[in-house]
Amino acid sequence: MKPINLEALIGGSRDPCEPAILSPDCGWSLMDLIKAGSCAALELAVHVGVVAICCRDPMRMVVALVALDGRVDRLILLANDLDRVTIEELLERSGARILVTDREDLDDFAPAIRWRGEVEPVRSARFALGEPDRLTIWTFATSGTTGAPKLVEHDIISLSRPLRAEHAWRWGQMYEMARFAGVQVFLQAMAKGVLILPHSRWPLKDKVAFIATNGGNAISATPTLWRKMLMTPEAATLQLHQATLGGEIADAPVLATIAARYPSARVTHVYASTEAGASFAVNDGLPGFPAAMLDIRGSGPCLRIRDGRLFIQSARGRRTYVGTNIAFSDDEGFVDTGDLVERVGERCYFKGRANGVINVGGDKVYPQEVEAVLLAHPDVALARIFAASSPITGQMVSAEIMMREEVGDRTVMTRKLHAYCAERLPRWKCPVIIRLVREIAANSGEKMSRAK
Amino acid sequence: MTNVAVQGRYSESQLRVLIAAALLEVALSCGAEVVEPLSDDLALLESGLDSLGFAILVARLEEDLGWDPFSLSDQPFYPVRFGEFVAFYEANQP
Repeated sequence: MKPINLEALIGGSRDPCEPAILSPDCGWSLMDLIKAGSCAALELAVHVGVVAICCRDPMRMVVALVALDGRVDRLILLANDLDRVTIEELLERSGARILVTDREDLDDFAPAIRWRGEVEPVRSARFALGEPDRLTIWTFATSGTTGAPKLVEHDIISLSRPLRAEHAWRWGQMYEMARFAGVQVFLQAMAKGVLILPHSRWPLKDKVAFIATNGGNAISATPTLWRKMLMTPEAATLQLHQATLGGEIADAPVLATIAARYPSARVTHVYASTEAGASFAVNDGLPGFPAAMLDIRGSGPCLRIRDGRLFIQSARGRRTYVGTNIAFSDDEGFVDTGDLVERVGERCYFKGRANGVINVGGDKVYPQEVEAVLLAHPDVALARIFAASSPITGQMVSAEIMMREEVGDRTVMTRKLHAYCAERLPRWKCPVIIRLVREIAANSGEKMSRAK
Repeated sequence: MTNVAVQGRYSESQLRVLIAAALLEVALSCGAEVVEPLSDDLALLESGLDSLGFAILVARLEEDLGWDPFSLSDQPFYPVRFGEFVAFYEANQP
């Protein structure tokens, strides 16, 4: 039996001649995507067999995925903003033999296939990709907080398993196509509906305007991105039937604002990670998830709270990051999500990350790093950094500082400490609020409490 | 910014002055250039501050005013234009 591939999956769920994707240049049917794939760059990629792709133009990413799935052994999807050193490291770890890219700044990268010509829905008789004949491994890079991203494997079967296309929505793509979340939105739209694909380099308001003017009625984005979208005047022109949030904690204000702004939209927050895959969805418009979803053994992923953290059992057993022996799931297949969860009655609420990382509008901050900077100040005795909630960025950095000696003018000292941080840290890591306190509480483990 | 001691509620014009001053101060501290004048229909994210800048502005205003309209309001709200932002503060005082 021929293994399933992306081309067959899309072809099986829709008329191959009807529009599937709307890019700034034109509309694309599945047939158009297939035609555009017959080019020198992708033909060469098929021959090489283990290929990393990093493209600024999201349309190229789509064409490459359709062309290469089922025809290469392994695809490594790289976000278009990765730097050269990280790309080199990821290529080595993934075993990729070549990089397919349209990035001009990687012109001298080797080994690489430079994919520059126009991407057009025209079949070229000169290039043939051959019949799909294998199950391609898709390798995604996690959006790691420090160091190089880790690599996680999926395939078209595991990627498309959680999709239930009930409605033919017109999905506006807000994620990057190379990210796990971007591929989820793409596959959702291909199962039923249309993908509206703005250029990745456009400013947010232009992406929103492009989606709105082309009748986009479904959007999936992180809560951070939603907050930013809601602050653009263009967001008022959207008429949404589906608003999906994922990737970060969806708090009550952002959920309620989306529901109020788009009264005919179903508001869904999904829990998905590159490691655990797409795990569950909540549609009641409230933060957290019903406790009734815990410990259910059935067809879907099993959720469990251990030591206050959420664990998710993905379909397979113990899995490791590609190119390492670091396991991200135990023998039973449970992935430690690193998300703190508190059960209050019949509801479970997300309380932040177990490692204390603060998410400031999508940028990650390790409290220890900011504390170290403050502790280097000669007058500071102790410093505690923690997350404060912000209606605009979700979280922001807050500091409690104990000085070595009594301070004369507290306002002047606070200003000095703000300036001190600003000289030494990027702006999202600087404490927005600094409080001078007489003592800093330690919890029972002699560690400073990071709870608010 | 000096805390204007006002008995009872702030008027919209008082808040406008306070907010504009705080906005300029935040912009100055992060090296952003503010678009002037701060007219009512100016989109906030086009005023020169980015969303982190607005998060800082909202936090500073809470320190200066002693209250936060986002927690006082029972209506969910994301400000889009400057005029709405000022009106939101005026409408959601303790």
